[in-house]
Amino acid sequence: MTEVIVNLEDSRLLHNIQVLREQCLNEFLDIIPETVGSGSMALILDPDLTGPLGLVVEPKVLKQCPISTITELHDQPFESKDNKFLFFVYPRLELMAIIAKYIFSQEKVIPNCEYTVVFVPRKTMMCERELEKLGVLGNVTLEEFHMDLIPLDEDVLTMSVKGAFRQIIDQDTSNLIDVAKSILKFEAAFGQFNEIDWIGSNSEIVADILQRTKNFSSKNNDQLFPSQVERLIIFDRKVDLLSPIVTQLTYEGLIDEIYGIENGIVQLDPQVLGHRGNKKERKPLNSNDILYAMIRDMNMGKVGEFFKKTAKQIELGYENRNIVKNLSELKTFVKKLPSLQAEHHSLDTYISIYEDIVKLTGGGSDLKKRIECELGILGDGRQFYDYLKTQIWKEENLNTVLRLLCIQSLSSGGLKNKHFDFFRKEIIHTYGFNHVNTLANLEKLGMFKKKEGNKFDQIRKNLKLFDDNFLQTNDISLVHSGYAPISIRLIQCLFEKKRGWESIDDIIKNQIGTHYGKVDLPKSKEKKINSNINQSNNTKKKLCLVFFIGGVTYAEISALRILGQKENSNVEFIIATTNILNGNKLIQSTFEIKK
Amino acid sequence: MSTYSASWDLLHNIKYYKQEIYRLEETELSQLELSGFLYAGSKNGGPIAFMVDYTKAVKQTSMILSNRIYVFSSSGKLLGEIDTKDCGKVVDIGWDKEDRLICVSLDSIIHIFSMFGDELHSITVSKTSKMTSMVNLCKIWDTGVAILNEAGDILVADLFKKKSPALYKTIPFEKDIYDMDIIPAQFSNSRQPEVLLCSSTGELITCVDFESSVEYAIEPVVKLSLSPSGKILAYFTKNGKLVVTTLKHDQILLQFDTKGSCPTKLVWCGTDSILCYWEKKNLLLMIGPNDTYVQYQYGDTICLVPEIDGIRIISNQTCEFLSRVPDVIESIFEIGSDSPGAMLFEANQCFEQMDSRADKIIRVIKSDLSQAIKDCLIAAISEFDLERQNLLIKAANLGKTYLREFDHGYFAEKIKEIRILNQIRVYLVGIPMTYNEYKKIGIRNLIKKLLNHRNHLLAYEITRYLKLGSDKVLERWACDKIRYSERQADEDENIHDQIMKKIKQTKSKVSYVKIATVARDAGRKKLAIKLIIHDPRSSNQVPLLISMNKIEMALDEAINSRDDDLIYLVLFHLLNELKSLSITEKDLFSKLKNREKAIELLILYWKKNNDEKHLQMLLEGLERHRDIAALNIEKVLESDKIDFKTNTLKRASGKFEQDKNVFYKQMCEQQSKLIMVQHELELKKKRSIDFFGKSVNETISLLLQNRDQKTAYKIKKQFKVSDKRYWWIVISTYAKNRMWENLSLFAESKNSPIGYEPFVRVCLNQLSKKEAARYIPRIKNMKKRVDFYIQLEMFRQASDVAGQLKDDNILKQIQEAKEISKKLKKKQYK
Repeated sequence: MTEVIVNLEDSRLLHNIQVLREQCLNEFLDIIPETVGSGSMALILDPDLTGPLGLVVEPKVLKQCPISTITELHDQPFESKDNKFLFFVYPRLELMAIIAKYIFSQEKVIPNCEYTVVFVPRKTMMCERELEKLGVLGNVTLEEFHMDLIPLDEDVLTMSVKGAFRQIIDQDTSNLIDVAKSILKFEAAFGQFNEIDWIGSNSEIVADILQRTKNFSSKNNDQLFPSQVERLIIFDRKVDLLSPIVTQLTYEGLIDEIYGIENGIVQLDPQVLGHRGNKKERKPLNSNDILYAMIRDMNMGKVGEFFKKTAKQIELGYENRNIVKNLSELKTFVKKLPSLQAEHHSLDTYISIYEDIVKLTGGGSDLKKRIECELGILGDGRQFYDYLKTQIWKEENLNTVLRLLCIQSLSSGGLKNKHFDFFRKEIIHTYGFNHVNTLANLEKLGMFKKKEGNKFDQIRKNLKLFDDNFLQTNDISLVHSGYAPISIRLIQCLFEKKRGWESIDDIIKNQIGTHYGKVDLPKSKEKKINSNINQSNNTKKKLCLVFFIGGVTYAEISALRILGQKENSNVEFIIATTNILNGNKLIQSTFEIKK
Repeated sequence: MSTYSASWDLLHNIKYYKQEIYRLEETELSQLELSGFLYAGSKNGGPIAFMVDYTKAVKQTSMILSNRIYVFSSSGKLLGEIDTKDCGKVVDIGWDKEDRLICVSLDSIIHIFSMFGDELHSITVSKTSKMTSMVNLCKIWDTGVAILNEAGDILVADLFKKKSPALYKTIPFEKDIYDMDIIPAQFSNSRQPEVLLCSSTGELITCVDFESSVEYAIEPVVKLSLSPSGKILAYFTKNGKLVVTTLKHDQILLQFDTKGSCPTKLVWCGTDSILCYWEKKNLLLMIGPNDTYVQYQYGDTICLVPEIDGIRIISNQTCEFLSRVPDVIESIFEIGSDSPGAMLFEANQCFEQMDSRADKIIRVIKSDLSQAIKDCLIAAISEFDLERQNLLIKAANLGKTYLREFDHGYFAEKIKEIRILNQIRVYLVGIPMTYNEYKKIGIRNLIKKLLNHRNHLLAYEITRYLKLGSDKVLERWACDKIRYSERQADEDENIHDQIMKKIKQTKSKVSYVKIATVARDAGRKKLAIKLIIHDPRSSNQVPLLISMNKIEMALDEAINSRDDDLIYLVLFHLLNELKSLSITEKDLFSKLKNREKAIELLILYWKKNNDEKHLQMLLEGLERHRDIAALNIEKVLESDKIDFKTNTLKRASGKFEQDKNVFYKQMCEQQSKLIMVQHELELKKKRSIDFFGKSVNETISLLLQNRDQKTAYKIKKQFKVSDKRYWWIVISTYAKNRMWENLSLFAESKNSPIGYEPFVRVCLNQLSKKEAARYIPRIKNMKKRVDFYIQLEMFRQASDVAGQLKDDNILKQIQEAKEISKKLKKKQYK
């Protein structure tokens, strides 16, 4: 674990947001014994947990713990000289068998070792039963490490649930209670919400759990200090499955699309940065870097301009009249400036990444063509069947084929019967029979289906999903170069329409086809106190937490930031999510994993 | 009042007095012929149990049964009768600290009863589970029981810890042991209860675990008694001597020759004197230091119940308390006392008689008035006599009127204590607890004691009076209400309503799960269910409902809770039952019927566990054809056996047909066909090519690579591959494998349905410019041709085509491209 933890000391929105991380860290340290006594202790981590744990525990903290071995949990047990074992795992059934294997093989080396299985964020009946079935429940102590919402950045919190979208496909609702618990934990730290809206069936479940908890403990929730975050919106990913598969066209979104960002870190080939070697370079991406904070939410088309402008400012400031013609000149220019030494390196990196992206999205590239198709479909309702056919015949990546196919289907109320069967057959013949279940999953989600009337045109019109002038208007549609995510438009409606979602009741219920509601909060004295305080400092924007169940994309996060930073907006957003999602990850999770 | 102190007895320099607490004539207790009974009294004013003594043949009235234990309050009220016929022969009885009656039977079983006669549980005390031995001697104290059996084993059972009785030591000559006592854990060095034994040879043995130590007494000892402080031991020798020593035997504190036989009882009165009681003579002898003693002669048998600060003496006529005279009482009531307390008391006497001396006296003691008030208050608390107590309070009150700065809180607190103690001492309650005992156990244990005595109302009033939480009291009331109310069919409703009414009235927060558990254990399922639904936490409700086998209710509650783990709790219970064959699959499925969420979770669980048999069965029952089909397809993908694959596909296709999904049905059939075709091909090709798991496209491509165009085309036909796709497969395969000749021949074979641009592209993908150039002239779109020529830097050909187009712009474009190319080349050379 060599992750760099984002510094949250001076968070702009929620100044004490780091308490969430501190709580997690303290719980972690409570689980690890201070001293080991006789023998030594090994820490064995679920490979999926390594990254998220790095967001909480710094390597230097781990070094101070009395642990002699740290290793990842793999199917091949090793013989260890340690006699105490701490397994940190997500409650996944497959892992239980591996743990049992470890224990059996270790008992042959050193009998009667101590084993503790720590479940993140909590143990489940299923895993407990599995351990019992495997015959090791008697050997192990079970514990829980409630690592749920961890800050990824000063305004983004994630539960880092890897299979969160897969759970939506499987209708596995087991982690909704964790979502609810994490919200309650958030409330305990930052005060109670005055308003809670939810949309979609998974959100409804979470809202229901919250409602009950609140009803049960309604007597003692008169709080004296005002809430720091006034409002909560719970958003079910199922409400909008279109937006995450549309190519993200912000700077950060494209980095995620092209290289992939995991736990706030991108791994780049050294060539991208103009370095030599073949070891991937890790670059943390967060608001600690002011420059990055400025560019990440920009439409890719504006980033170059920004770099030039920045350079120009510098140039003017230093009375240097050379005109920067192109980026390579800019790069050399920047290198010359000693005052920018500190920022020089990261600016250099950002420009290098930018150049690489420009190359990959340039004329004639597949990505460019794909983006054109997407915008054609979303903006004008055009059809690209021929292009899609050829893509399949050329045996292009199935993931990208399906993304576009699903966009086509979602934005036109499905495919005509003829096309529907044709594409399914072509896909099965070309990519193999195993994708029968992939297609079935997409059909189950409604992302790919037979035509049954098109409501998308209405939604597009009613929610103004497309804006050609996005560069001038600074509308959220800039995150997809014209297309505004439905998810964020809906959230926008809550603040801009007088009666919130009720004003667009028909659109939500009949066109999008979902339902929404509010948690009924007990009216208590706190409201008065709050309103008094609010009157006194009206100028400060209110804060709203938006919780995405099933994942959120970087483009959507950017869109919320743009909403919050608008001059006439009186609200800013903190984003919480089960996981960070993008189109590739979404489609990938519809593939049946071969056992 | 001066006559009061006249009745006090002096022992060495300490004064003792007997206070009458209750008159017992006319009570149920007065009916007993005490001399014929074995008895045991519970500490802190607790009840007294009587059992017919087998060793004595004394006539009893007909109402007394020999196999019963009768429990009385100190005020002579019969609290309970305990039928011991199921306990075998009871050898000893005693009480634990929670006023539960402990009966030790001859066969080494400890039976534990409530004071009202309900058997709570029993403990078998033996070395091994198989063998039990007869009890030789036993000792019951407030937290445990020690038994010396006929095999010579000393076993100690802890009544408050769930662990099996501990074996201490085996003594070879158990018959020679005369008496046994216990050093409770709180006083022992080992922090465990230690057993003290005295043998016929004069040994005093202390045992703990397997360790033991031996000291020698001056002569053989027949009776032992440890002081309430746990530090001093009194023993009575064979020759009638009473000896008091430190526990370490390093100092003999007292030696007194009674010249009597072994007394019936040897007990401590507080910590300063010892009582010997000979039943035959009805003589009670109190012995103090320096050969001092006081003799009490009774007309009839008495019972002795030791307390920490004195002794309760119960006869058919009275319940008395013999103890040291507290210092404050002594200072106030001693004849001629001029202590401030006495003066204040005196002043009050005057005040009551409108005597003006009252004022004078108070002025005399003005400087000590605060102490005087306090003394009067403490004296009032210590008094059992209400009249005297009242006078003392009045005296204190009078004092207070003269001393405005007196701590009002203290005064109120003491009055509260007096009120509480008086309340529990009233005849109906009958708990004559002393002030010292009250101080020692505290208010919470007092409440507990009242609840054990089922004085719920008083307990409730006291908690309210003291502003303590009364939730627990109400909870206990509800539990007892269920446990001890009449068992009639229609009572459930009634009890439920009564309980709920009280809870609502008092706005209490009780644990419904606790109350419902009691109802369940009492065999009142219906009531339990009625109660549990009030519990707001599903995590409480579900396990209890499962334990009552109310599976459907448990399921609904779990589903309603939105907590998947709770649903699994119920499901796993059902699966365990399924495993143990208590229920069938049919039962299981019928229980889950219409409980969508539970079904989903069960499917998920079986899926993750690969329990196909059950999964198929469940899905079949639900007619979820689509899911079964998907399941079968997964199986197809996992398997590598052809027969299995085709059979499973057949099943899947059947399921799709039932689901009216023609497309997937066809796909399954096609896949089945493909597998067969692939299998035949492998045989034909002598397994030189691996077709296993390949798609239609891949199969065609593999054949083409192996130059079997004929079969490839056959498969195209067989699987209705469109011409366009087929052409793409062919040209990509040839290009990828650099089969340029084949590609060229193929291009000639027919007019391409996909045009010739793809030809150029596949060649370019292989970086073969030469081959790519070959197909450019066949592209229909002239502009495209130009673009490709430019890309290939074939500027002459580009110009030619452009010439035909007659477009200057294009020519210009070519020119520009040409120059850039030149520049680049130059650069490269440089």
